[in-house]
Order: sequence, then C-alpha cells, then structure tokens
Amino acid sequence: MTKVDIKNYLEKIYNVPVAAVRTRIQYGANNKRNHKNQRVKKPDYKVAYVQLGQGQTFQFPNLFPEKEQDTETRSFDDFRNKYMEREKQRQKGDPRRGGVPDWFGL
Amino acid sequence: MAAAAVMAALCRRLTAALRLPGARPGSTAAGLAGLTLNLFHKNLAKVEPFHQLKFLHTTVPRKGLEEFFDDPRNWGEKTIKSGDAWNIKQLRGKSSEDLHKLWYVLLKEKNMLLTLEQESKRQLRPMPSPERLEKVEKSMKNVDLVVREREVALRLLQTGHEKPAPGEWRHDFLGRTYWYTYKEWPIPWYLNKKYKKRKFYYLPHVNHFIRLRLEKSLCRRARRKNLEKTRQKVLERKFPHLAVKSERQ
Repeated sequence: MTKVDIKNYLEKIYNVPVAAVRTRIQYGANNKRNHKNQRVKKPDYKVAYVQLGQGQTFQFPNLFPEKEQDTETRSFDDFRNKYMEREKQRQKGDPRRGGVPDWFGL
Repeated sequence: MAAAAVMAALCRRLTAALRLPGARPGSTAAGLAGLTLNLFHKNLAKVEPFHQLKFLHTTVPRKGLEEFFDDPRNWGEKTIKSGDAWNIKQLRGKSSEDLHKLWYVLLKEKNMLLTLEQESKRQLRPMPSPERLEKVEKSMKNVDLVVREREVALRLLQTGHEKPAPGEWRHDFLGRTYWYTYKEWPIPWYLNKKYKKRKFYYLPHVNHFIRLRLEKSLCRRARRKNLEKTRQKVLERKFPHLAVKSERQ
C-alpha cells in the first residue's frame, strides 16, 4: 500500500481526516539460526506514519487493563494453591527430624 | 423494543462506518435502514462473526480511529464470545449491495482483530479468542467466491464465455497440461522471437516421466486415503459409543 493508498483507505473507509502520510520499509533481521544452522529471516514490513488532520489527537488505548477476577477463576486459584500446599506437605519428611532428608541414616 | 434499539445502533454504526465512494446520495435513513434491516434481520437469527452478547454501542465512533479497537467493555477479557462464520449458502441469498456492505464490515473487523493480535504480542499477553480471525477470513473468502460466481454467471448470459480473456489448454515441454490465456501483442506470433523459443509440445522421451508423475500422484492419493481410514478405525476402537451407525445401515 502506497502513501496515497493509505490516505484514501483511512479517509474513505474509516472517515479519519489525514493530513500527511510517510512510509518506510522495516527490514526483518536474518540473524537467527534454526536447528539446522540455517538462517531464519523475520519478514520485512512497511511502517506508515500518519498525521491526523483537523487538530485531532489520538492516544493508543490500554487493551489489557487489570480486571477483577471471576468467582470461577478465584475458586480455581484457591483449589490450585491448596493442591500445591498438599503436595509440599507430602514431600516433607518426618517433622521430628528437623528438615534433614531421609537419605541420611538414623 | 430491545430489538429496535439494537437495530438502530447497528444502523448508526453502519452509516458512520461505511462511507463508500459509490454510495448513493439519495440513500436516506429510511432507505439505509431498510437495507440494513435486510442484512441484519438474518444476523439476529444466524449470528454474524463479531456478534458480542454484551454489545450495545449506542454512540457513534469518534472520527473512526476507535473502530480499530473492540468495544471498551471487552478490553482485558480472557475470552470473547462470537458467532459462527458466514456460510456460502447463507451468502448466496443476499443481494449484491448487502454483500458489498458485509465485505467492508468484515474488513474492519479483521483490522480490529489484527491490531489486537499485534498489541497482545507487544504486551506479551495471550490474544483473547483468536479463532475470530479464522472465522472472518473464511467469511471473506466465501463472499469473494459468491461474487465471482455471480460475475461468471452474468458473463455467461451476456457473452457466452466463462473467462474474461480467451485461452486454451496447452502442453509445456515437460508434458504438463495447463490453461494458456491469450495475451495482447503488437506483432503476430511468427514475428515474435522470444515466443517462438517457447515450446508448447513435448518430445516422445517425456512419456516415461509423465507416467512416473502420474504414479506419484496416485500413490500420494492412495496413501492419504489409507491414512484417513486407519485414523477413523483407531478413533472407532477408542470411542465405540460415538461410532456413526446410520452409515452402516
């Protein structure tokens, strides 16, 4: 998509007033190697810098705000914690031995 | 009452969203509402791809950049409910204007999902319900197929030809058969040096390799069929209660 294409796209389909568009092509690195020692390329992509018209501003929103957990997830977390505690208790040896493992004699 | 409110909200969303270059200036609110009623009446029975149950957006998106993002109430959710993709059979019953509008609706939905995917990669979080992307892609492919079918039908009626440009089946020098479309040239073919170097025939020694190629494709097909059969058998052995009984009868 060229600069003109992007301008028309935003104006016609999204009804966003565009003042200017600048584009560049970001080169994807070719440094990583796979298990066969072949170079794996990350794809190249075009980046467009769009300046909005008519004195508009735009702030990229936070799409992953912290939300309070559901009752289901909370009960699942409780269950998981209880299970982990039970497993730890089972793995601990005799409390009278004071934390010394069973490997040692006596 | 609720249905009318939903209808009005969706109408407003469409009018704000779809400012198409070919839009008729005389399309009044009533006219558009009539068309949208046509489009979304079906949707309320058979859900459209981005039908969200908590969705009742009554405000028009501010200058359009909000359309790159989902409804703010869905931000931060782990899963978002959405309906099934559009089937070809459902789309064949829609008018061309409806399909045109649906295409743009799907395009915007795809853009929204792609921005969400990219943002989730940036924030190193899982994208909520990524299957929506596949549904939208499938729907768009189906819309394209239906439009192509209609184009071919119209061309057949008007001219009697299926394809827009004439052509014929030809062989290449390896014995493969392919559809060659005629191209427009300023000179005839017998004066075109590069074209005369191309060979649209194959010599007799290629027959052996044609046979081998045929054997290879047949082997591949048979292998795929056998794999399917063995997989089915394994599943039937594991889950005998889920076997399809009607086919056996």
